[in-house]
Amino acid sequence: MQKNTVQIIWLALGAGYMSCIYFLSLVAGLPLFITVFIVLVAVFFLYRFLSKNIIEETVESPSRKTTLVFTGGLLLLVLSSLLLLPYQGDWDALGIWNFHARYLQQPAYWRQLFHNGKFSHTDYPALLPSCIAFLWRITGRETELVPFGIAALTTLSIPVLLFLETYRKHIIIAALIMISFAVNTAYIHQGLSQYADTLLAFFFLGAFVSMQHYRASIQPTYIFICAGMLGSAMWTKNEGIMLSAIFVLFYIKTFLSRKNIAYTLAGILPFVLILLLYKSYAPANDLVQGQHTSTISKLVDVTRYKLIAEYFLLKLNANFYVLKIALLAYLIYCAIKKQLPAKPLLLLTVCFAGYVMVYIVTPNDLEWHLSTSADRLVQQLLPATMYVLALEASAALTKRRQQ
Amino acid sequence: MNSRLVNILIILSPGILLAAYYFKTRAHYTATDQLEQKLQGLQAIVPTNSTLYFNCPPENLETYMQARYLLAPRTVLYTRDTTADTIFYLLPPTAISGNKNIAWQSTDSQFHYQLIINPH
Repeated sequence: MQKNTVQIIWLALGAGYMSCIYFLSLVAGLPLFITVFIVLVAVFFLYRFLSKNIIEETVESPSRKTTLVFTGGLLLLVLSSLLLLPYQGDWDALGIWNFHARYLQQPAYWRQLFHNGKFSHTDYPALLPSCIAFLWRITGRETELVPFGIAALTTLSIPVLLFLETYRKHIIIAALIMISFAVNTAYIHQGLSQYADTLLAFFFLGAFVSMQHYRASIQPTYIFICAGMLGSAMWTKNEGIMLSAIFVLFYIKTFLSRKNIAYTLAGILPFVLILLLYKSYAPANDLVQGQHTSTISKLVDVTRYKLIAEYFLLKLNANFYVLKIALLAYLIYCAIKKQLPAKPLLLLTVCFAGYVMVYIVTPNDLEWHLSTSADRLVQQLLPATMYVLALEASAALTKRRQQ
Repeated sequence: MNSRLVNILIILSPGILLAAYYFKTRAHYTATDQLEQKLQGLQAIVPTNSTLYFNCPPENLETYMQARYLLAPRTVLYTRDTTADTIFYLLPPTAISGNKNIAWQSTDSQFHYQLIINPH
């Protein structure tokens, strides 16, 4: 992995560990300076471990053209973000993520978060609120710049990571991906809204990137990163638990092989344990709690499937048409070549099917549930899907050139 | 890729967005800002570990979310029950309520704020 990619991965995993340590310090009642010390030690050793094991020093220098394309793409992304810049977080930022952070920054009162009833979603995992709360306490000010800073960094890091991971395979594809994100107003709007979905998307993308590197190098450190990314995704949102479980199932042999199992556990276990600890305080999830006998009738109700399909098509056409076109082109290519889609794409399809099943059995009004979350779910899968499609397209184009 | 250049760009880009956000936020005086200013009086008299009930006729979830956020870490629960022990009312600014046992009240262009403590 090149140095810049490792630094981005380190930043993401560092945020994951930071939130875990902070939440644990709240439970243990540790003073802030001890927590800060532990976080600094953890991120320092994490960087040393990553840089020692996976930074490729032999990556050849890119051409001036590549650097120019990257700079231009990033500039376009920043300009689009400036044009779409909000002046405050969206509804869920105030109602959920920053709201939870306000409790978690209070060492004496953080447990009161779970006294909140309706509309507070205190069962949602706390990676983002813990990060915000920790940074608020360090800065000594409860400023909205902290959640916005995290949101901006995440929104920009996704296209940057995608570019860094694809430009050596095919510069045109890398440039197209960068531009497609820079002109996607829905992506930028969601990203800057201070919600946790883009952060989840980033962790999920990180898992795909590290698994790809593992397959190319068979270096178990990548399994540690991949497991850490999946753990962070679980600790970010409840959807992350489902996505991570599907990912682990798809690569179960790799994760549990004798060579890798220690790395898998070292990567994922801290997050699983923190999540279990958090869930021991939190109420049950409303979607799970709301299930009863009507679930069966919902499962066989064709109109629900139809409504979900219509909604997702609407969202794809309105906000994510590049993704739709890329997916269609890839499926047509697979049909012509008479081959199955790549394993990671099948994984993403199962993830999507998981979302559909959640909608099918939702105890909420289906139309309301779809209207408030469908585009966010597409956002969660968008970066990983673009990455997988970029790899497939690069491989196909390279193969054609060689013939 | 030139590692140093990428690092500079990666640090610079969110920095630009942060600065822009800072100035944009400062230029906007939102309903939440107005509410925040008003609730300072209430925050001074309601202990941090207490539970309040919130009532805002007609039902106004957005304002409830804002008030709940601003009053955290106090617990603020939505209710229509007018007999709950401590109720924080947000009424239209010109409303005349028949509420008794008013512990705190204030008015601005958005709302008439009242904290009621019902004796039990």
